[in-house]
Amino acid sequence: MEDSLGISQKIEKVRDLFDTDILSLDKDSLYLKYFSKNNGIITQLMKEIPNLSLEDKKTYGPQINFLSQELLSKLENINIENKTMLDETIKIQSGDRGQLNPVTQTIREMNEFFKHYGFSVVEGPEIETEEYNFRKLNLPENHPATDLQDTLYLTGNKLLRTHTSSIETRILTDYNPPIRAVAPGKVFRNETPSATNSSFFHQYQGIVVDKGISIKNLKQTLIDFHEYLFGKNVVLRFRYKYYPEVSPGMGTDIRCQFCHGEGCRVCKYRGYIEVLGSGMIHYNTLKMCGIDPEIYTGFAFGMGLSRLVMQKYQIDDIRKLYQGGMFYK
Amino acid sequence: MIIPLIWLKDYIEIEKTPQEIAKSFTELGLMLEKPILGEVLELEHRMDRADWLSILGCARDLSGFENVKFIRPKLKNIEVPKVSEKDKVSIEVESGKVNRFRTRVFKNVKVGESPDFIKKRLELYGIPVINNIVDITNFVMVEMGQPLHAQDLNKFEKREIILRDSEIGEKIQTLDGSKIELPERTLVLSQNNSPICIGGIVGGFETRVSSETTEIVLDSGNYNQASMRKTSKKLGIRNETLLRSEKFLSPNLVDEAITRCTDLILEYAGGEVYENSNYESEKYVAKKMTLTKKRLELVSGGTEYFKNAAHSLRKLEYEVLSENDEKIVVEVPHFRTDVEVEDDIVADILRLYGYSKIQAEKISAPVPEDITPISYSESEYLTNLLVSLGFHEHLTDSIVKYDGIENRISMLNSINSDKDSLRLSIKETLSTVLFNYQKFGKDEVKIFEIGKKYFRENDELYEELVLGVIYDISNKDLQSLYIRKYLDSIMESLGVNYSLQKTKKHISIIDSNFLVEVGYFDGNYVEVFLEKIINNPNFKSKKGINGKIVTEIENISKEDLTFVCHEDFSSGEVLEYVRNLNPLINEVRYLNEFLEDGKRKVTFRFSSLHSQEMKKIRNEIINNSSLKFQINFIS
Repeated sequence: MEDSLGISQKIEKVRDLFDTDILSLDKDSLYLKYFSKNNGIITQLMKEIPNLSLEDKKTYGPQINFLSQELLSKLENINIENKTMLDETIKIQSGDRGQLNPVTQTIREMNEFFKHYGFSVVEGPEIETEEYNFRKLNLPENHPATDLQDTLYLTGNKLLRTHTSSIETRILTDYNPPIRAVAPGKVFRNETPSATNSSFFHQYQGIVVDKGISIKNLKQTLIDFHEYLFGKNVVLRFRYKYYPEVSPGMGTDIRCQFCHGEGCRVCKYRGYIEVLGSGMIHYNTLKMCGIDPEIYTGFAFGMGLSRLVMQKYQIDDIRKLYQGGMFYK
Repeated sequence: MIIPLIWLKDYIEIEKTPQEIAKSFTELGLMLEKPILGEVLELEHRMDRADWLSILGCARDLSGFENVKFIRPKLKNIEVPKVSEKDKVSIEVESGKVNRFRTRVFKNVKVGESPDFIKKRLELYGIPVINNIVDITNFVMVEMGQPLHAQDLNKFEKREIILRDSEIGEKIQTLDGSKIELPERTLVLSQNNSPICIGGIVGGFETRVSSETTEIVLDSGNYNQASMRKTSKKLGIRNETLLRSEKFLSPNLVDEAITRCTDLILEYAGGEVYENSNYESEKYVAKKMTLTKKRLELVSGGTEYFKNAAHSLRKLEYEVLSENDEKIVVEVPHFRTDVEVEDDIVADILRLYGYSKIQAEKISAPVPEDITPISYSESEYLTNLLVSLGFHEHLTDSIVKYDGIENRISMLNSINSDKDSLRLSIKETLSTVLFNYQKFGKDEVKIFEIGKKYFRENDELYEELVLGVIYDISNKDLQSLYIRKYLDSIMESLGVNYSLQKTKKHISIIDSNFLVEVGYFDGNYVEVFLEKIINNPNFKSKKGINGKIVTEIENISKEDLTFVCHEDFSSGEVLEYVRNLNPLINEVRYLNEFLEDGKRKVTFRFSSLHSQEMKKIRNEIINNSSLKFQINFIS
């Protein structure tokens, strides 16, 4: 021990050292190390008492004595304690670490990828207006998606957002291009709860608006993203698909990893599993959000997270994921 | 859309296997939905393409994709004489839901069996075969996508059809025999003031074509698609007719379909045909559009598409009005009601080129400014903190059952009476999770959620981002002690100095600097008003380096002190006082306390990097605090 240390630090250090040594040394070695007449650490400490000032003697004398008693008593009990401490067959379960919800875990993994490519992570309100949830997405008033059956209305005009595309229209309206953003979030539907349907679930939306953005950029972004998420061997299929808020629209599927495209129960005998909808942001959507579609173009994509998460973590019922039916051991 | 391949091949010369055809359909926008059964494909249909609800429409796009010949059925275009006044069926359109309504009268038809080619195709498609007249209307509907409807004129009491909205209490017996009461303002075809057909949805039993029928009125109509969908939902009727009339069908299809149907009826049921009426709410104007090379190259990102663009568009039956090196001017075919903007034409060109062949290319533009809101990163940071403190994160449903609380937001429509309102606090839904943990036998539960709570105030609806934390153990003293400890960590990470205030409902958490409520706790639950804290203009994120940076190992001295006080003494004030007493004090931490004979013994630990000064600091703490708070320290 160094002289510069105060006496109270020395006491603490000795106590800590002993607690470490007790795990590795046997009773006799410990006794010698701490209490041998010439070199014992405690013996040395005791020898320092006479050199202290009167004031310090009053304070630290009793503390050193107490330490000596404490260590001796620990030495006495060593046979019993050592046995449990060194029993390698006992695994101590740690209950100290909390866990992220698997949805959050997945969102974070995805964010990680997109942040790397310069995307911001954005949010929007869950209570939305028809304007942002439907109209600005080029969804005319009588489009099936606006049906009362699917949408949960709070007032004549206010509703619970039915997709994260409403965050897209918010961002396109509130910010000037260039924009690069992803938006994870809760969405709501008027569905009867079942193993696969829930009145709410999570979606993940992405948008890019800039000069000169084309469908080629969308394709590359989706390829990179899926390789990140599923590995380099993932096989993708791109096809035309209609969504009102994009044109040209693009559907993206991954080849079923169970049957390698042959067709099985998992992929409903399609050979591919649909993972995402995307496309070039509709001319009218950009215009309605105050962006000049003659100068700027952009793409958007959106995906449901629940199915992905359920597959990844082998959760067979969406109600378990969300309605408190899932807990962590 | 169901495609019997034999039917498809009536209009297209293709030698591929069903699997190969399905693959092409999938890429061009009609994804194979179910496993291929023999020679029938079942393709996913999306809302936009009304023309894809016909075999002809699907064949047209496939011919463009495969670049093979497309063969339209030959129409005889016979001259149809006008009906005589005696035989005329008077048509009155009183409803605004009718866009087109065309009728023809057939006399001396012979109802019997359909020819084999029709029967076979309908059976493969899945429509039951009835008789030649009904089968022909169904055949043309599937072939061209336009519903048609034949009625037995001899069963009419008056030779009239009035298209009007129904009145309260009106009833009809539909073709399948079921009797239904019509919702008010349903579009009906009526004669002699009685409904004989639900327009665009289903025919009536009363005027159905049967084996005795000799005289028929054939109609082909185009109606307001939104009204069709709403009515069918109210009635709970889904059928092949509705499937089409609820989409944006082209009003011009009416003419093609009635012409084709006439040819087939005359050929397979005989008789004579007369033109009866042709209603049009407004004249059809063909859509002219221009596709520029510039736009095509911008959206597609490639220069390889323009040279074949005009050819592709012709394959899809666009009429090319003019073309040069810079642009193509087209007339959009009437059946393409989905084509709205120039980019839709770009989509057609890319579809026929093949999405699988589109080259991929990285975005070359520089990275734009980061617009991630502070609330997102703060929530993430707080989530990490709580997880590291041993809390599990849960995401629960925001929707709960209405309980009459005044400021709770409830929904106008919900199919489930147990879920018709929004939570006022995360506690309401997080408690379900607690209950599950307890059921599982967990005696210490630590869970949290960062999410929205919702409330109504003066008719306005609000949502607010909050953190809800549940810490639950059976020892309630320890529970409140630990909740305080966790609250300290949360508030510290948010940079909020707080004090607590007992109210009737719960204990309020008050921001000491701004004297506003920033949360509350109650039993095992703490709620922190994250949005309120973050939106405070003075909010400073504590996510960065949060305290003094130590670059060399220094000697820290620690000492514990215990003081005795009354049971209801605010011991936090002493700790706060000590913290600010001497700049040499590094940290002051509350350790524990005991209650003995009505007196509390509170122990705290102070530390300093200046070991030589410990004695002086100790004396200063004891002397000053004893004096200020009238408390005694014990050794």
